[in-house]
This record gives sequence, structure tokens and C-alpha cells, in this order.
Amino acid sequence: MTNQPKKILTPRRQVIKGIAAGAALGATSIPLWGRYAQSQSSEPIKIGFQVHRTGIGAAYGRWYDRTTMAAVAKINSEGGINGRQVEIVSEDDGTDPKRGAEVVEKFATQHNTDLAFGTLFSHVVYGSAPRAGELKIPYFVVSEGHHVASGALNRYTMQPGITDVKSQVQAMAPYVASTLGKKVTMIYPDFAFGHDHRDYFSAAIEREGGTVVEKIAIPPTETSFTKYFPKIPRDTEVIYHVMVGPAVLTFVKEMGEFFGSSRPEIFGFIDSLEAVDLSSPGLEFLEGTYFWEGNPRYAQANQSEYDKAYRAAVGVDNNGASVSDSKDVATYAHMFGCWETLHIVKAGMEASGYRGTGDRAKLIEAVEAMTDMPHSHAHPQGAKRFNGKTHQVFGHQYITRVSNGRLELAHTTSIEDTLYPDETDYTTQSF
Amino acid sequence: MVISSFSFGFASMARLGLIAIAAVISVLCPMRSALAHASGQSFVMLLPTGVYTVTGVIVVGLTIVLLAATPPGGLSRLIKPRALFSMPRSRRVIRFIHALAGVGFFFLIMRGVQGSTDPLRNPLPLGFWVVFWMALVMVEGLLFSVWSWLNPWVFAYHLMRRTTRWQVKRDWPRRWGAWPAVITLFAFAGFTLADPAPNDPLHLARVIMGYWLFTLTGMLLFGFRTWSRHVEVFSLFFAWFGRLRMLSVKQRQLCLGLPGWQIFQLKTPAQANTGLSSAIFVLMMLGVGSFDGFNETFFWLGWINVNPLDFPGRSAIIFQTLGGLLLANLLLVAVFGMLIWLGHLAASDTAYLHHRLADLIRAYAPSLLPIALAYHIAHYLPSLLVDGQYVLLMMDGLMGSDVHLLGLGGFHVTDGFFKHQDTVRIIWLTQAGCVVTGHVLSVLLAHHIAGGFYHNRWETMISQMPLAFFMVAYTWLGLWLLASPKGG
Repeated sequence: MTNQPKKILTPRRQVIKGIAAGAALGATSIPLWGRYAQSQSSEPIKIGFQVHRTGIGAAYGRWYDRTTMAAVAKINSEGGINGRQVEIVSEDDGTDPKRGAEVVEKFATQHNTDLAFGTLFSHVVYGSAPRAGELKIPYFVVSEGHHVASGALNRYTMQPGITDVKSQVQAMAPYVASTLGKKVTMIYPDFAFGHDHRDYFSAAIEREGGTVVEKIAIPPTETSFTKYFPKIPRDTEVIYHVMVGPAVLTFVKEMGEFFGSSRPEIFGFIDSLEAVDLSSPGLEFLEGTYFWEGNPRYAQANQSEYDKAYRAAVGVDNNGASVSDSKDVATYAHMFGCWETLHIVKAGMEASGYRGTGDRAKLIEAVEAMTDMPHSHAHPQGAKRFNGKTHQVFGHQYITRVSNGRLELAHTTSIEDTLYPDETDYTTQSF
Repeated sequence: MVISSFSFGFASMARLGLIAIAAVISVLCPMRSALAHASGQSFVMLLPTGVYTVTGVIVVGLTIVLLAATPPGGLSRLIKPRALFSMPRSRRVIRFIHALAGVGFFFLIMRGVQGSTDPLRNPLPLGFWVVFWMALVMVEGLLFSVWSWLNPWVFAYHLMRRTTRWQVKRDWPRRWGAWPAVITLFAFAGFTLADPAPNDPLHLARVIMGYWLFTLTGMLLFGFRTWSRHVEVFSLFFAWFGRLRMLSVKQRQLCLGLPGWQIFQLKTPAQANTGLSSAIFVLMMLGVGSFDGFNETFFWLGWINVNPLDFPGRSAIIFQTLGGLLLANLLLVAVFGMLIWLGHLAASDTAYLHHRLADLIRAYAPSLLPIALAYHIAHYLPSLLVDGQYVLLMMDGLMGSDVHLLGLGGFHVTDGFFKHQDTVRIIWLTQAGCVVTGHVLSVLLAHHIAGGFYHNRWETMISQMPLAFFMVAYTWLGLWLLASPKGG
């Protein structure tokens, strides 16, 4: 959180030169340009918000919506983007990949939005991104999926506001190995989500001199876990769990009953308990265990002024719950991505002198040119480093420990911990 | 000035209302479908739902035993309504409300076409799915008639007939019965459960407008009443659930009776008051409601080879959903028919000579209405509690984002009641209570219907045994559905 960047939103020089030249040409050599520019400037920037209003992502969607609206209110109150107000055009994708592609198409052809934004669930991203590429509409996702950085998508798809799962998982390994233990048993759901964790973490912990002593894959439809716990080897020093779905509280309860008071260290991803109050009955067993958090749910002792302002804007209290209902815990570890992405869109549009949909390529180039982003009101989660080639941002990760029913910050990773070699270079693709 | 005083008046009322809603919510919190992270269903899975389920099943079983011991005529006295007082009726007021309903309908359609693309901010999806489909069906079944006031075809139909002097010339073919309504109910259920985007405002506006035109055309061809009784799904749906109200106006008298008393008003139970197609419609009301819930369970998703934790979206399972919907309804009709036929055979070795299976289905089908309504309430209560807040916000902002008609500026929609075990327990028990009550009432109605077929207690009791098994099994199914892990 305290790392300061070396550069601040540095677009490539040629982009700026091109924009400056274009602006000069437009202002002086074409008589009607001024009128056109005037009419453009009076129209709002339209951002298509692909939101999970229904389907399995609906609970996340509600908080993504709330964060998005708060970010837009802030941006508009500060003068908008290039002097134009921002308008959000929301479309429900039903957390459905096929519907997601249709929504992107609506943004491009019906609503004529300047870009599409906001998708969380990675299978929806995967289903929608090809259509965004075909229709040449910038598609800013807030998904955590590794799809973007893997090179599986296209030049129009970017993830500049939230880190991807590969970097998150590998950044956990140094702390786990040095502080919690080197012999790890992984418990994960037996499908792609769990497999990503298994593969990324296994490789990362071995680089730290540790080993995964057992990999316990749980069938997705499993609702009782007692038969799996005896498979945990006795020499296990750390359990790494990343269970999701309706049986997750049962998993925690049964794990507590299995170990009793004597247990190894336990580390999990907050995805399991996102939006769940940790003081809920049955979760006492989690006391003293560790979690990855994309953004600490509870306001920490070293809370930044940016986090404070961000919480106030979205309406989240110091416990990570809605200011209007202390039981309504936010999806705090993820939703900051909407806030930060919209600020990057603003920065990209301002850097590229964005005027309208004809400048979409310029916007993408401007974002591709970004590198370091400082911890600021635009980036309340922490400093970031964007990789223009892979269209993926990297940033600090947080490890918190459950203490008296709160998640207290135990460790902040460096950005370097999250980096991995480029797997693609989207800038080589033409528009 | 008018607005400000209006909003001032409503501001305090609305806040009081919200406090009341919050109180209700804290008592009635049910669960929405499973999410990628821990949800209300996670807390349900920590509850002793097995014990609760067994208790619910025992309650229904005891009801059956008690009924067997009830003297003949005892139930009839319970079901017979009592007239309370006469109700005034003004044709002008009714016409005015019908005109208002017509205007409101087109306002909603217009907002669907031109308003926000966000289904939780657009009045059409909120009005249709949340207010009309979720809430008003409950109101119709429990409190008072709403469909007769809000029917959006009444005003347009009479207006067109008067202005064009149109005469209805066609007779409804008797053999068609209400089978077209069975098809429209299936089509509506298919749209609700299988369409990838039933909430999309523009899509919904087109579908509703298409159906409205189809219905108006049918009404003009065959007559308002004929079409309403044989094809129009909502008229029939509301009419059947309306027959469960304890309070209802009959011949201008407000009458009170046990839920279901209206079913027996026209003819004797044995004669039944419905054709076979209408009876199938009633069975489908339950079949659709049962499948809408079952289709979210791990059991069903596993059956169609879908990972519930990585649900691929509605688009990927359209045909599976439609197929399941059809199968569920066929299965229900087949099992129900088989069991009442078995009971009939067991009760009397000669009675089957006088009553065909179709007669029995026609007579007994309405006894399932309380279960259908209970499922509707239990299933939609969670969504209603959350989406109802969006309705309030939408109404608050009808005059623009700067004017808060209900004084709800700064109000945030919450689903915090799904995130605590205490509230989740109360909610689950409320839902379960609904389901059990529905089954108890169905058992009573079925027993009363049986009394019309048989003239001694022994035969009546024997005839009810297979149906009793059905009721107990369906109670278990309903409670199992509430307790099951869900995805999708």
C-alpha cells in the first residue's frame, strides 16, 4: 500500500504526438470541425455496463453496480471526462456468456456506447470478448480471469483495474512458505476455478522451496466433506482452501470439527466467504486463519485517505458492510476494480483526447501506454502497474488474518511478487 | 409545491414503511439461488432442515389421520362460507379503474421501450415480474381480487367494440375446451424459466405487447369472457388462485370461509365445476411452480450435466429447461391421475363403473391449488424482498433522479438478511410453514371432494389413502426443495 510508483500514467510519446497533431489539424484546417467538436463535447460519454443483474453473479452485480455508480458520480462531480459527463448504460447479461455477447453487440450497435465495461465472471468475459473484437468496441473487464493476459482474447479486451488470478495466487506463495509452512495440502473444487489455483500455486510454492503434499479435489456437487479430511497428510503444515458455492460454510464447520483445537495453519481465498460476516455462528473456527483479500474488507490501522474516501463514496462502513445495513457485507475484495477501471478509462480518454467512437483505437493505445499508477483517489486499493502488451494490470495483494472476527492485515505483497513473464503481446494485433 | 408537499408527506411514511419492511424482512428472510460465494443457502445448509422436514411431513400426516376420524359433515360445516355484509358496487368507479389500468399498462410498455435498460431500474420488468407476477398473485390468493380491476384488456376491448360497433360472431368450439390455455400457460412458464433474458425491458415490452395484441384479437373474435376462460393465461391463473381467498364477494355479499370454499360454490364437489382441460391447467399451475425451484437444485443440474458452481447461463440449457418443464408436468398429471384412480378402485369395486378417470381428475385437481399458491409464495418471497426494494426506489424516482417522491434519497438496496443464520432460519421456517399449510389445506379440500363421491366414511378414507401418500410425498418434496443446495 505504501509503495510509490516511478511513473504516473505515462502514455507513449507517439500517442500524445499523434493526438496533439490531430487536434491542431482539426482546430485549424477544417471549418466545420469546431461545430462537430462542440456537439460532441455536449454529449455524454456513454459507457456500456455489462452487469450481472441476474444469474449466479447477481450478488456481486449489485455491489459492482453500486461501486460503478459511485465512481461515475465522483467523476462527473469533478467535471467528467474531457469536459463531458459520463452516462452509464446498464444491460443485464444474466451471468450468461451467450447473452453477454448479445449485450456487447447492443452496446456497439444499438446504444452506440463508447465502450463496454464491468464484466466479472470469466466465462462471460470469454463469451463476450470475441464479439467486442469483431465490433471493434473497447471491452474493459473487471474479472480477475487469466484469459486476458493469457492471450486468448483480443486487442479490444483489457483488464486494467483488477489483477488476475494467476498473479494473485503466485503472490501468496512467498508468505505462505516463509511464515506459515512449506508443506501444503490444497483443497479445491474440481473444476476450472479450482484447477487454476492448484496449478498456479503448486508451481509458485515449489519456486519458494515448498511442496504441495496432497491435492484434494472436491466434486462441485459435494455437500459434506468429512470423508475428504482424513486424506490430509499428517505432516501438512498449511491447508490451502478455496471452496466456493452453497456448501462452503458446511466445509468450514466440518473442517473445524475434524481438527478441533489442534490444526495446521490454514490459508484461504476470501472468494469463499466474500460478503459473509465473519462473526457468523459456525465461523469461529476461522479465528487465527489467513485469507487472501483483493482489498481489505475491514478498515485497517494504516487505512489510507483514499480508502476512506472510497468507502464513503460507495457507502461502505469500516467493517466492509453497507452504511445502511450492517448485515449487508460488501464484495469488497473485488468491487474496487470497477472504480479503478472507470478512472483508467477517464485517464485514457483524456490522454488520447477522445472525442467519440471513432477514437476507440486511440483510447486503447492510450491505455496500452500506461505503466505505473499511484496509490490515489483513482486507485484506492493500492498502486498498480499495467502491462500494455498483455492488457493486464498488476498490483499489491493483501493477506489478512482473522482476529476477533475481523480480518486484520498481516502482509502486503509487492507488485513484483505478482509479476510473471508475458504470455502474449496484443499490441502486435492490428485494429 | 404539490410535489414537495406530497413527497414530504410520503417521506416520513416511506421511512416508516421501510422500517416496517426491514422488520418484516428480518423475520421473513428466505434464500435466493446459490451464488458463486457463500449465500443464504449456505446458512440453510447449516440448519437442521432434516428435522424440520420430518416435522412438516408429520403435520400433514396427522391432518390425514384426524380427517379420517372426523365425523361426516364436520368438514362441510367448516368449508361453508358465512355472509358478512353487502358490498356496494359502482359501475363508474369500476370503469374508471379499468381505464386507469389500461393507461398504466401502456405507460409501462412505453417505459420498457424507452426507459432505462437496467431491469432493476426500469418500471416494466419491475412492474411485471415483481409487482404483478410475484406480489399480486399472492394478494389475489390471500387478500382480495386484483385481476378484475387491473385486467389490461377490459378497457381496450370495450372501447374498440363501442367505437367500431364490432360484433362477436364466432362460437368457441366445445372440443377445444381450455386446452389453448394449457398451451399459453406452458408458453408463459417457458418464457419465465428458459428465455435467456426475460428481464430485458425492450424484449419484455415486445413479448407483452405481442401477447396483448394476440389476446385482444382473440377477444374480439370470440368474445371477452370466452377468450378469458379458454385461452388467456393470467385471467385463469388469477381466477383459480382467487378461489382460495377466505374473503370474497358473492352476489354482492362479502363472504368468509375456509380457503377453497369458493371452489365448491357452483356445483356439488362430485360434479366438479371444471372441464378436464381446466383441471389440467390447475395441475400445471402446481407442476410449473414445482419445476421452478427444482430446476435450480444440484440434483437437476447434475442430471443435465451442468456444474452448478460454474453455471453456463440460461442460454446453454434452453432445451433442457423446456424438456424438464414438460416432463415435470406430464409426470405430475400421470402420477396424480394414477393415485386418485387407485384410491377410487380401492374404495369401491363398483364406483368405477359410474365415474371415469377424467371425472376424478376434474373433481380433485382444484384440491391442489393451496399447494400451488404455497409454492408460489415460498419460491418468490426471497426475490420479492430484495426486488421489492428496487420497486420502491423506482417509484421514488419516477419524477427524475433529483426528486424523491418517497423520500428515499440515499437508500441502498440490501440483502443483508440472507447473510445471518438467525434471520435465515426464521425465513426458512416461514417458507416451510407456507408449504406445510398449503398441503394441510389441500388434504382438507381433497377429503371434502371425496365426500361427494362416497357415502360412507370408510370408503372415503380408503379412497384418500393413495392421495394421502401423494400429499405427504409432495410435502417432503417441497421442503426438500427449500433445503437443497442450489445453483444456476
